[in-house]
Amino acid sequence: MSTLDADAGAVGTTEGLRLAPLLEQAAALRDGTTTSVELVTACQAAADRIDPLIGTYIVRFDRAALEAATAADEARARGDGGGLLHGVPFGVKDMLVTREGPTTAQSVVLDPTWGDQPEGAVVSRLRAAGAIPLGKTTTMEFALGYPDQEHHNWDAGSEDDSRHRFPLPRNPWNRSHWAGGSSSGSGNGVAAGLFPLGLGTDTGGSIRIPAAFCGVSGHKPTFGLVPKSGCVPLGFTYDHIGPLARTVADCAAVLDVIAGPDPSDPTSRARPGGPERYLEALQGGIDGLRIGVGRSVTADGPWCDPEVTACFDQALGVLEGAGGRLVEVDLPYWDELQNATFVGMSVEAFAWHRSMLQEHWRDYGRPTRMRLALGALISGADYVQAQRVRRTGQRLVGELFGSVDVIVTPTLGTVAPLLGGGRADRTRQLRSMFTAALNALGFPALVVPMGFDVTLGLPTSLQIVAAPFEDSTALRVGHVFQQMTDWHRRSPALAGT
Amino acid sequence: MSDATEAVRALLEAARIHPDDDEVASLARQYPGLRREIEGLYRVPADDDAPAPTSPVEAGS
Repeated sequence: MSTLDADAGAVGTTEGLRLAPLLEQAAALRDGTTTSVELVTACQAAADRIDPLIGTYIVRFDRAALEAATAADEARARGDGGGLLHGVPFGVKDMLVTREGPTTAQSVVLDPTWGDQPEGAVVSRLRAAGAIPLGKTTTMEFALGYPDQEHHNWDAGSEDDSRHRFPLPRNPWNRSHWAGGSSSGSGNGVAAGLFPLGLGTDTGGSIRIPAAFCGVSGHKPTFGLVPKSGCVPLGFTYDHIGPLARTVADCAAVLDVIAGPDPSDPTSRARPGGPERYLEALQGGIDGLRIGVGRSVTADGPWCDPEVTACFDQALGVLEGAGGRLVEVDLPYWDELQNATFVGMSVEAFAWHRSMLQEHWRDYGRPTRMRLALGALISGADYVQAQRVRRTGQRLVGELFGSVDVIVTPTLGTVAPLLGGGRADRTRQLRSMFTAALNALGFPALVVPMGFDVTLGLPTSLQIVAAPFEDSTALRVGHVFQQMTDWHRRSPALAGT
Repeated sequence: MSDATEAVRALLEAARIHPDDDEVASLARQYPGLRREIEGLYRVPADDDAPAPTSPVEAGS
């Protein structure tokens, strides 16, 4: 395995800081070790070298980002840059509106004027906190499907002017493997040090899967905690927006900025019991915390590779060593909840896409249009039944939290798959996603790197689930795990080039 | 034409989308598996209370 420790290299320089967590970059900006212009310039120079190899960006906002960085440095010089994220760069999945450039959802189908609407609450809040968008990151078309040779530029670095071709998001740990999706560029960009924060969206695992495959942290907040305005919808009642970052503390700091209801999203709501301060809530340890281990349908099931199970067992040992009390739990109707997400999401996505599919069937990539068409094959009663299963699952899984504080599983049963795999590979990949049930439930789920498949040199990942609006508990467990391990501090060798 | 192909073609036509024959055939191959997954949802003893609405999560649920 070829790795580069995040602390290695040009320590004390802005180029060295590029691979550091967001909060360390922010601290360096505050204490004057670097400037926002230097940091943004270093990220842009790294993107010049690395992006052609891994397909992180659809479009970069180089000029606007440098102007914003200059303004951030000037504000700080005036004593007006006190926010925690002031001057820190971030990448935005191209499902979210930004004022600097178009929103494509990585498709030629989406009307370019769709992105003319105002920015959503999340991007606006990050911008107001002083963070600087560097560009729009790759996804799968409309956050669906898988990499295919019709839709993606398969030969890295080659010129291809086909209007269907988008960058192919490769895994920075091994470029023959997929970065994961659908927040692909936000995941591989963080791992490669192109920015310390990537915004993602998650309808069945699309924050957690690329975070897992690329060896970074990712957080799907409780449904409703973070407004999802300004986002191309996939499944209206399954979509979430959240951060991908190097550390759990970074995710907590971002959640402090982006959480809270907003009139632009009627499904957003205030946290019952009042707002949480997520970064502060990381303190306190996990001594005596009850950690439910949901392994029978995940780590011990037929879709989990032995290497992943071994990493999971080691991770459980770490949590136990930190004082956590391990409690085996059975996850009720797990397969059915996974299916409730696929059924419900398919119908909701088809409702949004139906008119465009009628007019532009062949303009969609084949995997996307075939996946969307499944929504036409599901009846109204089937959709309602999926919603009934969701409600039952919310009650039954919610009841588990009477006896445990969090539930842990592997995020996926496999490491990142080879690009270009066939139908059997894709079926296995789909079955090994232990993420989708959480979208049906709407419960918060955090993922953190938990080791490597040493043969392939690819990361494995731990998923930490909490009760609704108890995101801080999952974050605290993840933070403790990262204080006792160094998986999150490792970067692929490519990141240092 | 198989039952699955007929069913899929009818549903797609009702939705006024018109894939190629090979795409219909591919969807027809997936259809039995999709139906099995959906039938599994009906075997869950779902509660009588309202299905998950647009804002599905309640604290402490």
